[in-house]
Amino acid sequence: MTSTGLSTPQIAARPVTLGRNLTGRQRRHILYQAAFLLVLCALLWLAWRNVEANLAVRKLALGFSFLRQEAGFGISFSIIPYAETDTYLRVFVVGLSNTLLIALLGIIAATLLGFAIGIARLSPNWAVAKAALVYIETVRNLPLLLHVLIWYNVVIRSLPPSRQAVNLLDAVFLSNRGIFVPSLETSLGWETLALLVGGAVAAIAGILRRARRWREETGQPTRVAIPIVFILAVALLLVAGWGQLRVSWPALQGFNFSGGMALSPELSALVVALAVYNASFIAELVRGSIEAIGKGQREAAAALGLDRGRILKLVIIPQAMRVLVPPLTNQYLHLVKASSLATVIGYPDLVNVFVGTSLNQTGRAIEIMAMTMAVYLVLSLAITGLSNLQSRRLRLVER
Amino acid sequence: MTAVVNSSRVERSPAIAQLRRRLAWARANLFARPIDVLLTSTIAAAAVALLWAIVPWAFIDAVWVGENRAACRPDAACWAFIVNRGGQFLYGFYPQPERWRVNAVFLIFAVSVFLLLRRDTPGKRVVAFFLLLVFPILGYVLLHGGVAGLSRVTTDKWGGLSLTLLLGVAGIVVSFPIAIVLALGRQSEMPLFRWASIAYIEICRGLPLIAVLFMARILLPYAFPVGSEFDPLALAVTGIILFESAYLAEVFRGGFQAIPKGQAEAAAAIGFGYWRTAIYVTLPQMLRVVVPGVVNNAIALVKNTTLVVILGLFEVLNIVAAGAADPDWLGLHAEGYVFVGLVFWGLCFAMSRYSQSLEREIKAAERQ
Amino acid sequence: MMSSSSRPLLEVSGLNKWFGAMHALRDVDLTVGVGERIVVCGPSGSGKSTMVRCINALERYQNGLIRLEGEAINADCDSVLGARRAIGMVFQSFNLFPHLSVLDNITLGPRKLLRLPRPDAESAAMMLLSQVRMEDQARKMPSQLSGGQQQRAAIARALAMNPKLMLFDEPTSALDPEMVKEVLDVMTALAEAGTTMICVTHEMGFAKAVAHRIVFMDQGKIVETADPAAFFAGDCCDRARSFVGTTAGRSGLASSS
Repeated sequence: MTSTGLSTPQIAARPVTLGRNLTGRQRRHILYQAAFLLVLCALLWLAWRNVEANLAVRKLALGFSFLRQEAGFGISFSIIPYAETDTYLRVFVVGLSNTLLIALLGIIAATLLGFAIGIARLSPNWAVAKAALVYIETVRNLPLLLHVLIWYNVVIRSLPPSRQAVNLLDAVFLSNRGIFVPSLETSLGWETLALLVGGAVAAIAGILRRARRWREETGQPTRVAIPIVFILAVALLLVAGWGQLRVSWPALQGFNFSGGMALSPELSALVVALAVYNASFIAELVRGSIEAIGKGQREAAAALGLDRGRILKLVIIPQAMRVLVPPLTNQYLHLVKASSLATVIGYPDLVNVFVGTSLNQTGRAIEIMAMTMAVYLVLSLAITGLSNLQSRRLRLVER
Repeated sequence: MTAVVNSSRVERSPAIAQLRRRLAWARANLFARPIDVLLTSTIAAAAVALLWAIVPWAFIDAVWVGENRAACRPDAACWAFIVNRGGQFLYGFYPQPERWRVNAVFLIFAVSVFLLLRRDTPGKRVVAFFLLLVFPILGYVLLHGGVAGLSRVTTDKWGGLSLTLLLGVAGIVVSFPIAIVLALGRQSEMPLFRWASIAYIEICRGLPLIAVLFMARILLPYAFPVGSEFDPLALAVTGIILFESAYLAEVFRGGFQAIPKGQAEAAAAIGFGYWRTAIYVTLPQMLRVVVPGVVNNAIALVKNTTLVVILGLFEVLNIVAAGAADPDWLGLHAEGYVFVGLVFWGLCFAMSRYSQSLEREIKAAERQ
Repeated sequence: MMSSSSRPLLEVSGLNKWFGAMHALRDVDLTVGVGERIVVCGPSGSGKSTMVRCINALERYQNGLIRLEGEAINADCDSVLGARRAIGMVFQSFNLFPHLSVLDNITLGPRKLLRLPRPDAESAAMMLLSQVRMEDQARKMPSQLSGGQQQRAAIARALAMNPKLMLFDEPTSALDPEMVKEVLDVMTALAEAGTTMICVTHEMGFAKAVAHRIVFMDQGKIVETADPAAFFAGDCCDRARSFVGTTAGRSGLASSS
C-alpha cells in the first residue's frame, strides 16, 4: 500500500462488463422488452394486412408517383406561381409555402403585439396595466377557432365592398374582398430570390458568429454594423438592378383592385386571429420573465444610481431574455401548428389543399398523410432543437 | 356648544381624508407623467366608446323574446335566437325527454372531481378508480342507451355544448392512465420502453390536433378489416385521446422530476420494488404536484375540442353555424358567437383561477 | 461485545466502484459481526457514503463482493429486495414520505411487505415512537415536524422492518446543532440495545462513546481501522492523525497525552 495514494495502471483501469453473466433482473428486463416487441410486431402485422386489403379494395398501390399527376384544381391564394395544370407535388409546395407564410406573419405580429401588451402589463400606470390585463384575460380564455370565426365572419365580412373600401394613406385598402397592400415586384424568379436572401442571411450570420468568437477570445469590441449594412446594400442593389425592383401600388380598377398584393379575407382573418390570440400568451410570458428577475437585481442596480430605463435595458431585460427564450419558442411552435386551422375557413394551407382536396381526388391517404405528418414533425423538431441549442449555449455562458 | 361643533368637524374629516387619499392615488398611478395623462385619457375614452357601442346593442335595444328573425330589431342583438334555440346549443339534437341522461353524466363527473380535489375526503382511491375505470363505461351507457330500458340515442344526435364538454371530459379521463404509463415508460431503465414512449410523445406533440384528427379519421380505418364501420364521434375521441395523453405525459414527467431523488431511495431502502415504490411513494406525490398542470391542460383541451368541426361533428360552434343558416334566424352569427364566447370564457376563466390559486398554495407550502 | 456466531453478519471484500472515470472505491474490505458497531469517518469525497450505499445496493459497484449472512448482494441480483428488508437505512436528508403521516410512514413497510395487518403494525409503530420519544407526533405530517423530530421518525421507520443491520449516512449533518443531541441520544440508546450498526458521521464524541471500531477512509481506500481509544490517542497513520487533530480538536476530543 503506497502512502502517496497513487494507483498502478492495472487497478485504475475500469473493468468492462461482459454480457455473459446476466443477473435475474437483467434477464427479466430483456424478457419484458421482448414480450412487448412481440406484441407490437403482431399488432403491426395485423394492421398491415388490413391496410393491404383496404388498398386492394380501392385499387391503389402505395407509391409516390401520383405526385407527378396533374392536379386540376385552382388554389385561391399562393405566393409562388401555380396553375391548374401543375402537379400534386406543386400543390404540396404551394400548401407548404402558404403554411409557412401564415406562420411567419403570425409569429411577427404576435411577437410585436405580445411584447407591447406584456410591457403594458408591467406599467406603473394603473389604467394601462389594467387594460392589458383585461385584454389578456378576455382573449386567452376564448378558443382560437372562435377568434378566427369572429374575425372572419363578423369583422371581415362587414367591411365595405371594393368601391367604398377603407382607404389608408392611398396605400392600404380594406374591403370585403381582402386587404390590399403595396408589394415589391421583381423579375427574378423566386428561386433566385430565395438564394439571394439565403446568401445574405448566411453571410450576416457568419459575420455575427465570427464577431462573437473574436470578442470572446480577445475581449475587444467589434464593429459589425458596417459590414452588415454593406451586405444588405449589395443584396438590395442586386435585386433592384438585376431584378428590376419596383413597387406595385394597389389601385381600384372596375370592381376590384389590381396591383399590389392581395391578402385574402381568409389570410387576413387568420393572421389577425393568430396574432391576437398568441399575443396574450406571449404577453404573459414576457411579464413572467421580467418578474422572474429577483428584486435583488433591481435593488442592486438602483443602488448603483441607474435610472429606471437603464435598469431595464442593462440589467433586467438581458436576464429576462434568457428565461423567456424556451417558452417563447414553444409558443411559436404552437402558432405554427395552429396555422392548420386555416382548413376551417378555406385558406389554402398545407392541410387544406393536400390532406383536403388532393386526398379527396386521389384517395392516396397514406402517402399524403405521411408527407404532411413529416412536414410538421420536421418543423417541430427543428424549432425545439434550435431552442434547446440556444438555451444550452446561454446556460454555459452563465456558468 | 363646542361639543357640537367638534363632532361635526370630526364627522366631515374621514370622508375628506378618504377623498384626498383617492386623489393622491390617482395622481400617482394614473397621471404621474405627461405621457400617463395621455394614456389614461385615451384608455378611458376607448372604454367609454366601447361601452357606448356595446351596451345599446347588447342590452338596451336587444330583443329577448321572439319566434323568428322578424321579431328582431336591425341594429340590436337578437337574444331570442339564443333563448329559442337554447336547448340545441346545450344538447345538440339529443331528444328532449332524454336530456336528463346528459345532465346525470355531467353531475356524476363534477361530483367525482370535486371529491378528488378536496384535501380531506376519505377513500380517494375508490373515487379515482371509479372515475378512471367505471365512469367512462357508465357514461357511455347512459348517453348511448340501448340497454336497461334506456332508449337508444345514436352519436350523430349528440351535439352542442354538452358534446364539447363531453369531448373534454373523455379526453382527460381516458388519457390519464395512458399518460401515467407513458410517463413511467419515459423514465424506464429498459431502453425499448423508453424509446417507444419518447417516440409516441414527440410525434403526438409535434403534430397539430387537426392533423391528429385527420389521421384518426382517415388512416385509422385502414388498419381495420375491410368494410368496418366507424362512428365519427369515436374516431374524434380517439384522436383527442392520442393527442392529450402525450401532453399529459409531459406534465407528469415534470411532476416526477420535481420529486426529490431521496424519496425513491428511501422506498428502496425499505425494500420496495419498482411497482410498490411507484404506487405508494412516487405516484401519490407526483399526482399532488401536477394538478395545476393538468387543469391548464384541461383548459387548452376544452378550447381545442372546437376543432372537431372539421370532422363534421355538431359541437357548439357548428350548432351556431347551423342555427344561423336556418331561414328563421338567418345571419345571426354575432349573437351565437357572443353566447358561445361567454360560455367558454366563463368556463376557462374559472378553471384558470382555480389553477392559479392551487399554484399559489403549492408555492406557499414549498417556502415553509 | 463481539458476537460468538461463526459467520460474520456482513462481509465486504474487494469492493471497487467507478463513477465514470473516477475511481471512487478502491479494494474496500470490511467485516461486521452481529452486534458490532462501526463508525466510518474521513474527509469529504473519501467514499464513506458511497461504500455504505453499496451495502444496501443503492449504488451499483463494478468489482467485488458484498455478502449479508453469506448471501451475495448486488443491485442486479434478485435477492436485493430481501437484503434491503433486512437492512435499515437512515439518510442525511431524512427522506420521510411527505404525503403520509408519521405513523403511516412507519407502518407502510410492515403493512405492504411484511403483510402485517394495520392494527398490529400501528401498535408496533407506537412502541417504536415511544422509544424515540415521539408518541405525540404520530398523526402529524412530516412538514409539521422539526428536523430532529423528522430524523427520529426516520429512524423509527427504519427500525419498523426489524432489520439485522442499521446503516446511518451522516444522520446529523443536516441538523441544527441543538437537534443533533436528540438524534444522537436515540442512536446511543439503539447501540446500548445491541443493534448492529454502521454509521458514517463526523460526530467524534458519539464515535468515541459507542463504536467498537473506527474505520477511517481517504480517497476511496480504508486507510485505518482501530478501536476508538487507539484512534483518538493518535496511534495511527499521518493522515488519520491530522484528521483527528482537526475534527477531534474541534469537538474537544484531542488526545491530551
